[in-house]
Amino acid sequence: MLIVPCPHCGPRNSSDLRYVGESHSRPDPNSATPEQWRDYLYMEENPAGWLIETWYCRSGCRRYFKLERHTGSNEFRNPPIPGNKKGTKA
Amino acid sequence: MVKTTDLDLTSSTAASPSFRSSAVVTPTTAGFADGSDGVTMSDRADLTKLTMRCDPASAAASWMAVSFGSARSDGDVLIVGMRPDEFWLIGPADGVERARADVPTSGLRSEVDLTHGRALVQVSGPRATKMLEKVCGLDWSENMTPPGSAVSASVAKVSCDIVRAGDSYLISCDRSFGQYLIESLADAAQEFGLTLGD
Repeated sequence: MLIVPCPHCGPRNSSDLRYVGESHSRPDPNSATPEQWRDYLYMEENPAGWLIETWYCRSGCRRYFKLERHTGSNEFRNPPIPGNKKGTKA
Repeated sequence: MVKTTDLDLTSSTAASPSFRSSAVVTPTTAGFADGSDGVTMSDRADLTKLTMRCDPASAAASWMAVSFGSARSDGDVLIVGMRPDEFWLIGPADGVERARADVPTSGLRSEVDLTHGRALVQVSGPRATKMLEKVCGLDWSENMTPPGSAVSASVAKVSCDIVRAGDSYLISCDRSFGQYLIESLADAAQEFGLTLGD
């Protein structure tokens, strides 16, 4: 069981949340090249290490937020950052 | 709505002992209405449930006078800080309408009447907390969720909004899950003795 720290609800079982994915900033659709747009939509870094990712607290506060998680050990570090679905790349 | 008696209990899944719930297979709940010291459950779906979303720094939010995760009574109306920018007014229709008229419009973004969209169950009694601990993963000790708390969590795998008042809990979920939730809670309450309220 993974206990995820929600910035609003506090520690919650991960089954109460939805994993949205790696946190990437959305490029400006008016100026982004097709390559940049493809990278935004499909490309993941998938590191074995620290990763900033977006979570959605679906059973609690219904808010998106960002978290820094170690993909190997499932540790979290730094406080979660309330945010939106778009996120920002580290 | 699927009624208890409509469920096909002859299918292999329903007949499997691990899937059998006596609350589901018992057509009436009279069989376990014997525990005066246990759990009392009442269907309160008829109460008006109005959700108001507003800027947390606005006059409307100040009028609510509850922070996210807490609730207070205003006469016969319960005012609940259900999300960081969302408040619920729960109570009889005239009381909620009266309170709604008092809410300042400054900073108010939306108001939606959820009365017919949400099921609402009141669970009370000295063993209600024990019962809830069986089906919800939150810490229900008084220092973590004291009376007056409002939390959202999974109850019997259904996303629910819960308000605690002493040993009494108001549990709300989408109405399409209401039948299942009531049966699940009835099942969980059996060992403590379940009384059905009004």
